[in-house]
Amino acid sequence: MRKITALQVFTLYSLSMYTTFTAFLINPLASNSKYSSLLASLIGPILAWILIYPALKVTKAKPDQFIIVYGHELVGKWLHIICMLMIVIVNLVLGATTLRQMSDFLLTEYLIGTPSWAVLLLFSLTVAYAVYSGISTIFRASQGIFLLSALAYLLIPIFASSEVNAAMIPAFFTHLDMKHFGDGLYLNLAMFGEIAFLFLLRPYLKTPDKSYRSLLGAVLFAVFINLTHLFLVLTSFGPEVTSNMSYPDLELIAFIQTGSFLQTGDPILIILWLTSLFVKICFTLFMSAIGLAQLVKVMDHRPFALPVTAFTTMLSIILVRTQVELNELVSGKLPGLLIVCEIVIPIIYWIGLFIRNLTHKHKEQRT
Amino acid sequence: MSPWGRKKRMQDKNKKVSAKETGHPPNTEWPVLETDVSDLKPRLNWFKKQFSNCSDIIFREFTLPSGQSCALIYFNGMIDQNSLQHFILQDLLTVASETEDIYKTLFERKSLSVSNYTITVDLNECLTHILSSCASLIIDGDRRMINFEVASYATRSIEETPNESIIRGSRESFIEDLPTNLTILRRHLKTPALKTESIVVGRKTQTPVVISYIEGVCKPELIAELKRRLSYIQIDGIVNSYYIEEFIKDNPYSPFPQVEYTERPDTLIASLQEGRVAILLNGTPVCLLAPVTLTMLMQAPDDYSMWFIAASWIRITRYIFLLISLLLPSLYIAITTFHPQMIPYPLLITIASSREIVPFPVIYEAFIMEIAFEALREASIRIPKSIGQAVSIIGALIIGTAAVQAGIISAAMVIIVSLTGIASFIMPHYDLGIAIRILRFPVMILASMFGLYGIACGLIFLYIHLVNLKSFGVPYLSPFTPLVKDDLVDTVIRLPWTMMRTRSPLTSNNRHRVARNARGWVRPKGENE
Repeated sequence: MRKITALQVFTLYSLSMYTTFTAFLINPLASNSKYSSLLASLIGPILAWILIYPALKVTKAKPDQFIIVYGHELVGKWLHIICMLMIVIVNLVLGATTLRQMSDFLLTEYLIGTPSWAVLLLFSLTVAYAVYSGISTIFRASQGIFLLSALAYLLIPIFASSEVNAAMIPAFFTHLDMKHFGDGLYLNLAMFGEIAFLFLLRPYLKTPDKSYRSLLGAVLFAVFINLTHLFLVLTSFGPEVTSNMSYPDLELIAFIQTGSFLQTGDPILIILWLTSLFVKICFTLFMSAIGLAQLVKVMDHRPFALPVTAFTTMLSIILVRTQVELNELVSGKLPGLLIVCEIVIPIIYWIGLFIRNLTHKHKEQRT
Repeated sequence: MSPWGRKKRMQDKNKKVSAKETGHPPNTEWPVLETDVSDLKPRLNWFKKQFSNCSDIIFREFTLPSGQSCALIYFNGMIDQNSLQHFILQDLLTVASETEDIYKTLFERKSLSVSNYTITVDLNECLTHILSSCASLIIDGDRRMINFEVASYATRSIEETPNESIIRGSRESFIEDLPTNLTILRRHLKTPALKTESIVVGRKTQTPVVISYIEGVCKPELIAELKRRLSYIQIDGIVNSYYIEEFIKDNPYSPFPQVEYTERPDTLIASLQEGRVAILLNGTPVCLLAPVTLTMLMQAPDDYSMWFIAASWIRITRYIFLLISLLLPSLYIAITTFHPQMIPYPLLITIASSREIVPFPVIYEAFIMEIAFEALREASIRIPKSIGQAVSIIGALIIGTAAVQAGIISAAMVIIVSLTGIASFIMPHYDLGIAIRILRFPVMILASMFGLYGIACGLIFLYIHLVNLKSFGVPYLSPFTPLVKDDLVDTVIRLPWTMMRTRSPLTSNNRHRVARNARGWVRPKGENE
């Protein structure tokens, strides 16, 4: 059962967080937070790591059992079912959103004219295979690709550094705005708060306490990559131009001239983003599959792997009609829902645990 | 009890499941003689019935000076006639003329010069011995039969293997004879810890299969698992080692080899020292090694017989060409079809001009060339050696040049396919090369449909398959994922032996193989010479 190492936790969450951020979050951040986005992207993730502490604490009560199985003892049957269903649905929506963002990116930039169902079908088949294979496959897959991916992400700023407009740098200090900062914090909190879902799988973790520390490592590493990319994008294009670009990081890479061998390296970004997003989507879908399986008292997630993937793929097609609607969902409603599931629900369970421990103590004292 | 409890398990199983249900009739080929007899005649008749229509069987009947009728049964050409004549027959006649109780002399005092023999009362067992190159002696008046191990048959001499050539190192290779191979092994590994456990596989071929490992180095659970898998093999015949491989590998549908093979004793010995298990078979020079990982399949014996930096450089080249072999045609298709903006302008002009007169899309062009190359490669194996080289040259140069000049194929595609072909030969393990060759085609189709996205999806699928794949419980992509830090010293690069002091924890519990002060003779800096 205990298969996932702290290092694997670090690699999966690092990959997931810096890819999602650089691929899809720079644009809403630039339009909502402007120059405050840099500070928000520094504080937000660390705050998220602190706020998910209740999730770790709650799952400590029965470390060898899934909270989905025993959670009803803490908050009652119906509240537990509602909370867990919310988490399952949020993970499905998160997976569908990421899938839609990825397919939109491919269809608008590289595969113009290709039917979206064909693009999604191909990707979903690989996702279904990984989800079916299980959690250790997903984590091990992330471990294998981490080094190459991280190296590429660390090298991009070095190559693109010539585009920096140094005159913009003081604006990161002089144009700080509390409202903008709050907007950026909200987005970052929601995205980085996804680390809380890890503790739903606590029995799979080899060293859960060490994993909490390695989550901090993953957060800090992702923050470093995110900040370098965000800084480069903002200083190269400015917040106004950036907010009008669909994929600012892609535009940044398009500026890189790799010499006489390749004219431009931006199509390589497909591979880079795809591999990391793959890991993230697999994890969210696995969460949904195992959540559903345990809610209906089936201990094996595999019968749910294909239906969940198929459903998410369909959902990604019908979830929103246009890119504008997608942006609205990603920077408006979805983060709120995520924060509820990542931070509020663990706090409810924590309070439930606290009350249960208190009553338990009273009973012991009476006897 | 038979080795590893197979016999008992099979008996239990047979009790429960009828032959009709299993689809495998019980072994009725050797009917048991109804009564236990000590007379020569019924036993001889039984053997004659079993060996009816076998022109090479010899029943040599004779009478001892003491009056007992005897018979020697053996296959012509499978035993040493000289030993039979001088050390068995002659001795037997002498002993019989000198003693009163021939049975006691033979079976209890063991007065014959030939020491290598077994005594049995079971006719089936005796039959097996005869089939295994023994000469069996049956004496009238006693149930016991003597099986003399005087095997002698022509075997190939030990030569250099053509399939695993090496620049610097041993030229010795295994041959088809199992005892010779075991002798080679024993000669190089002079330790009682080298174990060679035997089992017979194949209902008709009765092929001896030997599991070899170093006790104390190899993980006991690995040995037990291998024995368990072998014990399930129920097949008429084992002709070569792949028969065994297919039965014991974890995922029979995976294109990737999950068991390594070698004809080289030095490779086998090195692997045993790493804690792996070897399977040796009679009738093939190819031995199997388990478990195996992708990095092991990318290692060549030469890597350990040259300077470690040179070996590392060659290994890196090998990995690059592994990727070229799998991806180059697909990348060419994807970039020229979907992402031409990636190609620098002068190169784009060159490629476009070479493709100007070609009537096919790039994918068709690539498929035509790749399939033609596969045909050439297959033909070069079948064609007699004397004309093989000429055909290869004709195929590669003349047909290729003619196709380009005729405007059927572009020159760029010829370069791509040639480079891919060369790359596939760089793989040290032939089966891995085949896997890559097969997988190249689906990736090409995906590249033609979705460009780099298709390649990425294909690679992810392949990657997940490799992450899932295990060889005897050892993850195929270890030591990269899961990460085994100590094993990274011998993967894409090879560090010197002083830095590869430990064995892999995945295959061995006994980790230390090189002493910490193996270069202890080096004087500390500043000390006088």
